[in-house]
Amino acid sequence: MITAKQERFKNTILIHAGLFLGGLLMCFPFFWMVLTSLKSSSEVLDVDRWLPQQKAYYSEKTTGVNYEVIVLSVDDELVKVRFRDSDQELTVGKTELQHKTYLWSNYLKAWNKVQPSFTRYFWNSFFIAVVTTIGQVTTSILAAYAFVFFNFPFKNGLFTLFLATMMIPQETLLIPNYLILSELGWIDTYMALIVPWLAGVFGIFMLKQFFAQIPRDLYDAAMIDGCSKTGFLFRILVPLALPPIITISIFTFLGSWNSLLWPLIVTNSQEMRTIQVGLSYFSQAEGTEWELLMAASTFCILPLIIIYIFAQKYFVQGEASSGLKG
Amino acid sequence: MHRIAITVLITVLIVLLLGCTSNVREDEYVNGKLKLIFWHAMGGPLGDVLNEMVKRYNNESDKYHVHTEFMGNYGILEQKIIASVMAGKTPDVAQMYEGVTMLLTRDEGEESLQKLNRFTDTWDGYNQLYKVFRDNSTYENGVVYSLPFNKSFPVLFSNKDILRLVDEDKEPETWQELERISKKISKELVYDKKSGKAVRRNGVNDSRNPIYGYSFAVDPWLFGVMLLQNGGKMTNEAQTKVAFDSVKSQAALMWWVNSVMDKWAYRSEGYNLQNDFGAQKVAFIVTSAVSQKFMQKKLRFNYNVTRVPSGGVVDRSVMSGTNVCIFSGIGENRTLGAWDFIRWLNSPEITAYWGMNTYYVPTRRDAMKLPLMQNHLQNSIGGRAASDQLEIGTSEPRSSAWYRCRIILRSYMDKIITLIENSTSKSEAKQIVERYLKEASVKMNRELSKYSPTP
Repeated sequence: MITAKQERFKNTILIHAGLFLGGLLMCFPFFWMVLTSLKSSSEVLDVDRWLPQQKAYYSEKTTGVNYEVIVLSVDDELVKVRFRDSDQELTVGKTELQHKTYLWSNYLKAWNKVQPSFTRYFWNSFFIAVVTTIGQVTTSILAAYAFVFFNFPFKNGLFTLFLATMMIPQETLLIPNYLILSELGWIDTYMALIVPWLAGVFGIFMLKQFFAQIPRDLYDAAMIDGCSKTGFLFRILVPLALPPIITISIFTFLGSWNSLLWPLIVTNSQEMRTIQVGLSYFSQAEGTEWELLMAASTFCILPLIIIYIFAQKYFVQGEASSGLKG
Repeated sequence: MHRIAITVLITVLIVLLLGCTSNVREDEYVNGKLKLIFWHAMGGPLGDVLNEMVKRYNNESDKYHVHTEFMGNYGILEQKIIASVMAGKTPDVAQMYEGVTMLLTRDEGEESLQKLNRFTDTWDGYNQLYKVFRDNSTYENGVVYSLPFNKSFPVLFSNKDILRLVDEDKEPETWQELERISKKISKELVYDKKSGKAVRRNGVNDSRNPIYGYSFAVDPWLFGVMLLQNGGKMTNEAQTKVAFDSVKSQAALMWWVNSVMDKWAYRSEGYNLQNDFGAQKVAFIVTSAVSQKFMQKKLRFNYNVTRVPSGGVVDRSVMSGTNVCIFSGIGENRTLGAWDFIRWLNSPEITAYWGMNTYYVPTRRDAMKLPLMQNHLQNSIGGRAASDQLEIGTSEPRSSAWYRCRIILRSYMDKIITLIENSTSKSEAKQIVERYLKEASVKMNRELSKYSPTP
């Protein structure tokens, strides 16, 4: 006879097992990314072998073909090898062999491959994402506050207009926005990368919905107690709205960090480029350098994972309250 | 008081912002040399070669310094070119497809690109360019708007080790041979996971995964090659209507349809084509010659690269890739510099260097005669696979609408292959091909009719 306690225990085990499997499934692309980043270019194609392996290669000078070989014996500078595919044996110079395993060098190669360097791209992405996030959160708070707590002409119409802009695909705005920025002389500057994203309708909408749940009495009481409108916003409203604010921050930061099209359109010089542009260097219409792309993706995604670990609680709360996922 | 302060602040901001406006790029100098800006979309190993070449140009030139700006990919480059033309802030030189050239030059008075005839008329190298490139760069009334840059052809990659396993010693030269050998491979070989390569099938009950002879990605480029080889056309002369609802185009598509139904080929997606070939799961693929640059270090077996198969009623092929154009409104000094640079890109030694290091084709006849190029053609794997097609090559339609037509065609080809993968008979498959090619034609004609007729 199963007791209620045992039943609960069994359910807990089942739930956790399901969650564990789901978690593993979610982590799979990351495992694949890291493993691929450690492989040689030829191992990348060998989809049946998961782990990078210690291998020796001999490059035939006339054809340029790399043959995988098994080292049979080493005698000073000479190495006796057997070709893996043909069983043919050969003695070659030590320097003629290439040994490859767990290719951490892919990371170094990827880091140095782009001009000026990923260091610069990281700085640009980080700076742009931080300033954009601060700006967007600030404007969202102010706008949402005005929409909820103040009355002004055309308030509802204006808010509907705001919402309607969410339906316009970004691609259609590219050229008009480029023209405006060009008129302002902002092309190839941080202004072009930051200013257009300092306000976002999504943030305003999300905070407005949250502020609307705050009892109006709280506002009236604060006013009666002599609190200013600014004081009410920053002393009472913002602390209450921390979860949605952090959610907006995360979404804005992620959006800015992952942005590719916009930075490419509004910048020309390599010094103004962001990490996503750096990643695009490894993938072309005619082929992709998978091992370098995965190495670069790994170090580009690392800051996001660190941020996620620290802000996980708010991220989950935000998802629960907004019904949206990143 | 607050309102006045805010109004003043906003006014000051607007004045400051508008004060920044300037539409004309002044001439700039780098170490005393006039700076030229070149927008391109060459990344990875191709970008490395281009950067080396530009470095060399900058060292050799006394007057000009070229500054390259990477734009990610062709799609983004196109959008950026259009935006920059509208803003009047173009670079001096940019890579572009013919459709973009058409878009920027099609309406009188709207010309954003320079006519190059005043240069090409007196440049002795112009007649050295292959005819296919001269035709590709020449527009209505003989106006030359571009010079060729990165041009490629489809080529056949063959796994020689797999060929040997089925007692074939030569790569297929025709589609019929490709079909015959592919059928043999698909019947006799399986993929051995342990060794990671093809082995002979161990009796009829061998449950290991089959090796396929051929794999293809749905691609309007290859469809065009097949159609032309069948004696068909992609569009009418004026490029206002496609000619895809003909028997010839149906026959072109039916070749792929039959290959899938007879199970000696399969459809692949994007880069998987190259990956499967590298993993020895398929013996033949047809893709851009330039893919060799990305694949050569990955292939650990004997392989060869040869020209796209022939075997239709005429021997034709279709080239791909972009040209380089010079923008209008950049002033005479920079125009002369830009011409000097694009002419340099098309000089014998440089176009040969570009070809040898990227597998794009050299653009001139005399480049082929250079000793280094001769050595490359004769001794490198795939050295002549693309250049063997220079005399039989042609362009895809150059209408500005063609880019969208390609998207429509690709999507319909995809739909057709998906449907026939589940269809039971060949007659049913033929009906599907007929029906959807007609539907695609209607949509493509709608796109083409939006644009002015082209030469």
